[in-house]
Amino acid sequence: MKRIQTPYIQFIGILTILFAFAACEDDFVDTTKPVIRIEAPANNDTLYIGHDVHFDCEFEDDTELHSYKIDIHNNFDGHTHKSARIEGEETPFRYSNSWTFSPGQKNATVHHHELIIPELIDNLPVAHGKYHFGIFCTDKAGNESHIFIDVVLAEGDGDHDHH
Amino acid sequence: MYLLLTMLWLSMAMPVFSQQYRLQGIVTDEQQQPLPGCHIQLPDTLIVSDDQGRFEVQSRSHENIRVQLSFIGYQPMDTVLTQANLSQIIHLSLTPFAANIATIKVEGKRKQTQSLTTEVIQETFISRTQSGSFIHSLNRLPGVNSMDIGSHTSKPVIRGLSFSRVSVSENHIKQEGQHWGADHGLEIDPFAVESAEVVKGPSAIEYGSDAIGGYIHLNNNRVPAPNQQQGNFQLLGKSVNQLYGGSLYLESRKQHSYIKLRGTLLDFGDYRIPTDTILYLSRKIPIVNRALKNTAGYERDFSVHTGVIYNQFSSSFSGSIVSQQAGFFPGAHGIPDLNRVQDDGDSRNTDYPFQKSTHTKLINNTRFQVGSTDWFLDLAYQHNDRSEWSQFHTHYPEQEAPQTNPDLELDFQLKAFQANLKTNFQLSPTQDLSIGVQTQWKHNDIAGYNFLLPNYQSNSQGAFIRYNWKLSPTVNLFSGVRFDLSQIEIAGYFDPVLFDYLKGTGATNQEAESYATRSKQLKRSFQDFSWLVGLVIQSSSNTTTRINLGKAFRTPTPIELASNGVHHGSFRHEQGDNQLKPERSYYGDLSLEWHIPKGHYEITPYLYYFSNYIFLNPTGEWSKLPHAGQIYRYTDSRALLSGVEISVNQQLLPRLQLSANLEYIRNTQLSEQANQRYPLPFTPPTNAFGELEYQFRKPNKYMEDLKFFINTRIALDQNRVARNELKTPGYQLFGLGLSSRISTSHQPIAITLQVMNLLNTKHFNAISFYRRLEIPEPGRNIQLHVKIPFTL
Repeated sequence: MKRIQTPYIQFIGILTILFAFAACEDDFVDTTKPVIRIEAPANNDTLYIGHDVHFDCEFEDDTELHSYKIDIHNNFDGHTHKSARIEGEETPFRYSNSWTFSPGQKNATVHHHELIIPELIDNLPVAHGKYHFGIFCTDKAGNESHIFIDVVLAEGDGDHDHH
Repeated sequence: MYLLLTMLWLSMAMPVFSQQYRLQGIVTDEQQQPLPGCHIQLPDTLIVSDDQGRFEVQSRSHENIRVQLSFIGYQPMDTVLTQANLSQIIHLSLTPFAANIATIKVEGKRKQTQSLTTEVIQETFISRTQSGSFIHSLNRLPGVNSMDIGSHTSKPVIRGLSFSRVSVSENHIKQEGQHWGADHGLEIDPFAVESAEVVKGPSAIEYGSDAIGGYIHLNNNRVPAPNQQQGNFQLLGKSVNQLYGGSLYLESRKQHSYIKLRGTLLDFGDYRIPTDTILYLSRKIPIVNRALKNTAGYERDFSVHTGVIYNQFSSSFSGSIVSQQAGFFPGAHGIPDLNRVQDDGDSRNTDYPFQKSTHTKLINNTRFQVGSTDWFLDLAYQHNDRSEWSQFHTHYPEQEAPQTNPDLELDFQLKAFQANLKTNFQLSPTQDLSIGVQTQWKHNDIAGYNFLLPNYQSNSQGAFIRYNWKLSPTVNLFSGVRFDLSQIEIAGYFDPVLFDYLKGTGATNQEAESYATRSKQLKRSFQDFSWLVGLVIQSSSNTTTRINLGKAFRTPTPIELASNGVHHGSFRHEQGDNQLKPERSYYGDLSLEWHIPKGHYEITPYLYYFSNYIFLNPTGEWSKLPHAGQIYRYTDSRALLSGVEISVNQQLLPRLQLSANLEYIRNTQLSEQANQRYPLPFTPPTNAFGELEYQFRKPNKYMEDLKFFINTRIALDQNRVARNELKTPGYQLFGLGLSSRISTSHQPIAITLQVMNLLNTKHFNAISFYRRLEIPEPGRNIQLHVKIPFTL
């Protein structure tokens, strides 16, 4: 056994140094993603062409919120058909916009009607049907959350309640 | 290891001696390299082979002579030499035993070739761990992990470094594919690997400056034994993805020429995961029948080798094609969609989205001797074609699809030519010098309606000198320096599809144009030195110390310089930075190895300092690309990477062997501000692997080497994550199996039957592609591997 003592001492020495090094300082980094709680629109809600959208959402982060983004694009036919184009008569609605939170904000309840679905785009009526409604949120460190809900765009006067 | 050596030796009858015969022979390993110091047991005497592996005996018998050869780490050979053999020089070739032959190197019986920690993988290991993906089977080695994409595709991670920081080569030719993608594997025929070597630590000196993390060398240019025609047939079946497949191998050699042929077919279905639902982007997605829809695929590989072999000249040509196709789970490809995860009644079909790759390679390896100097020349051409298919309208719903291949999303055609020339000199009995030059040319062409990486062309030249000096019988010095020079030309690219899309969202002409200019023309050149100094000290008969210090650098890859797009519905707009400098790293490690009776222990701590570690970092800027969140840009940061590997091999009882290893990695970005000291992305958690193996007594005359093994793999929680990586809980998996060789004739059939993830444990691999999508790793797998050798 005597012959293996030296390596054992080295072994323990190295382990000690390593663990001392590993334990020297814990990081104070933010890897927690912000939380998005969407109240309105809800999943499978109908949004009315020619009207504004009632947007109501809570954002929360453990350190500091940075920005959020709304992205709407169509999901016609549930992605089953191959490359097709809606010819001529109507045009799909697309929307992408972002907002920045005030510095230092840890939680925010956002409620606005800034998002308006026009009746016409380039003189063509907006296409009704299934759409994806995506909400993205980042915190100051760059941690990102995103959620998607399904919505339907339809014609009509929108008997949804305006807050 | 030692247990394996305590083999049963049959008793034998003593022949009657009457007359003098001279018997000459040479003992080699499976690569025809001489084995000096091999024990050769003759009926009445024991002799040892000389430096050249040669031996000579006087015998008085004209009868058949029984010889028994033993060499540590190799299967003992027990053979009878007939009278016909006695007149010629007989050639005896030993086959290595399992896994880790590193132990042999330190015992000085084999020539040491480098100071870095090296795992040598031989046929038994490959056969035992054969799972249809060679790289995946390496994750039982200390310091090696695999980044998996479903059940069949894997990429190596050495000491937490991956992608282009780990080089893989086959017969000295670096594999060139699209390894920057977390969902791209390596196109290697898993059955065609005859032996492999995993070098941990910067291996830039001889293999090119990229290999900062390590190097995996696959070898399949073993020369068959003279005047033999033989082959084998391997069968593999797996329950987790209903994989079935086989590989047929034939070899034939005359005295000076040989040919080897291999064909492999693998076909697999959707793989099973131990859960009924996954929660992805706050949606519950059902996993119908607990099988992940559309992850089926196939692999078709073919290779041919032919060569000539003489004492002073040998040359081999090989050609191979590896082609693979596998689908992606559509439920988590982009926005979750329940319509796309309904059972289609077929668990073996591949629908959109899927990936396809074909890798074609032509290699020539030539060795020749001029005077007392050996020269090695390697020439190779390879073509990697990777395409990713998904329906056009899922990305651009209201636009017209391209006329040809409307659903081809991305296509990369990479052509690479490489040439290496190397020579070895023996300066003195204690000093070796090798000098080499390398040149490489690469050209990448793209197609598809989406854009990620532009066309580019690059060429690089490298030259190195290695110098090994045996300072004393117990101290060896290894040193090397390398210089690399490279140029890259990146083409500009304007994306008309994206331009139309952005115009449609109401973007201004200027904004649409700036986004649609996916890539700008760029020409850059890079040059730098790498060096490494290592000492190997055998401080007493049973300990070995290795110390290495070095500097490595890595040229930024085209993807790091010029990518610009969304890859696979990941919601990440990934962007290169064309101003990136070459990544530089200083490296040190210390490896202690010691042998005690019936055991072998090793501990290797290491430390890397990067002055500019390149990685993909979120910027906080929103992208205008469809389905994209924020822009992620390749950025560099000072970084420190440290870790330790511990491995233990111990014979517990005469027939019971324990082998275990542990890996701990800690890395961090260095910054003045404590809140910026993030860990680096894709860091494996602390993990361990342990296996107990019991070797039964020979149960009957047909069965040899009957072994039972039980193993466990443990990973601790990974809570130290980079931004937007998910924390991953730890897990423990169990496995067990039986292996044996069954001899009906003189060529035994090798069988391994094993169960992996025995308890069907739901777990996540922190560094796998599907981790981000909340998809667990495969469930319980029962697999059977049979290897049937035959002689023609």
